[in-house]
Amino acid sequence: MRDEIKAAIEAVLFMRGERVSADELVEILDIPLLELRDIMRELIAEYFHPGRGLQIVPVDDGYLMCTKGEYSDILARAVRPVRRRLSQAALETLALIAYRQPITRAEIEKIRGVRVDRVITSLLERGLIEEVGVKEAVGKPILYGTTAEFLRLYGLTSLKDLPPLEE
Amino acid sequence: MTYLVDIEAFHGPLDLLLFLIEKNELNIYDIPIAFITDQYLQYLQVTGDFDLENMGEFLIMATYLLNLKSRLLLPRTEQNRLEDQEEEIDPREELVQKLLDYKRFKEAGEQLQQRELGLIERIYYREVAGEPDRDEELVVDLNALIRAYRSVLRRLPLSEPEEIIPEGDVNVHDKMNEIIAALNENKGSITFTELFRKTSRRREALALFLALLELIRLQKVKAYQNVPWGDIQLEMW
Repeated sequence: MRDEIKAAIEAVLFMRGERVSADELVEILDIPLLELRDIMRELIAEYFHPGRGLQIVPVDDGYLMCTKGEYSDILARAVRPVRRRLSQAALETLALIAYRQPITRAEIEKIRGVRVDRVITSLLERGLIEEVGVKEAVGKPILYGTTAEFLRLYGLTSLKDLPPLEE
Repeated sequence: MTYLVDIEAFHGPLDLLLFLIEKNELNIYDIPIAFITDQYLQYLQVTGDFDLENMGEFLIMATYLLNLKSRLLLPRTEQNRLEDQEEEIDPREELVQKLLDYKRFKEAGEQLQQRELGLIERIYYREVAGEPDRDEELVVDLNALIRAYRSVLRRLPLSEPEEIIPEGDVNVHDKMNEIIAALNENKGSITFTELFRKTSRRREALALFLALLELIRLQKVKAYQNVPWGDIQLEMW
């Protein structure tokens, strides 16, 4: 029984290929949260085995199945070689949003020293950032933050994975 | 200095300033403002005619630098020297802070790119299969088209058939209509291989290929590949 639940969790995490919250797993599998945590500990440990290329990472009270970091050079060759590269301006803006989110356009422009309307539009179109609210300030400017797609593209399990900014 | 600088290669005035500081190996905490202002203005001048919309930000920085320069050059009265010493304010501090902030995020952006390219150890999420996003597909370049054309030619006999049946010369314009018709028949989408399947003669293949290039140029047809070296997909715009 326990092995079956473990196998089912593994299957769910594989299928989703993104973070699945503990609450959702509890609901899908109809097991108590404590039991889930227990099983997850075991499952995660099993993936530690060096013969495995995948790992399960606990993220913000959820779990993500993804590849192990050691294989990034090989996987870089295996990803679909498709996407249009982001311009340097877009990358700088995206980095700013990632580290300082939620952030308004004016705040970004103050740091970058240039206007960023077009860059913001293209980042929104690519689904890397989204509107996350409005700032309680004059004019109620829109606040931007990064999306799950951002985490996926850059191989981050959560924003906590972002390396600290250089001083 | 007669070369022209492409100011648009710099992502704003801070990018240009940072470049000048690094190029001249200056200490960012102790920038010689007079020197850097001259360099900066020189760069703006050699860009020649500039487009105001893009230059606005560069010009604002220029006035800021000039203002800073004059503040540093003006002899200070005993009064404000005392004040400055008390608070130890360097008029350059604001600029230094801006540059450092900008530099930090510029580097963070470069790091993101390295992560994307797998140059930094990272994890990968599972790629979700299914309909690939059209925007993210490769648009075929000319070389891929020529490769496909060559492989069609390899299939065709070198010489024309012996029995010569009189017929009008192959016309590129007719072939263009033929491609459009073929696309319409197939719900607006056909592969390169399918398109050339029925051609049996080199002259015809050539005309068909030229017709295809013309349609792509006119943006009536687009060509793309789902995977590198894969079959080329032709579609109506």
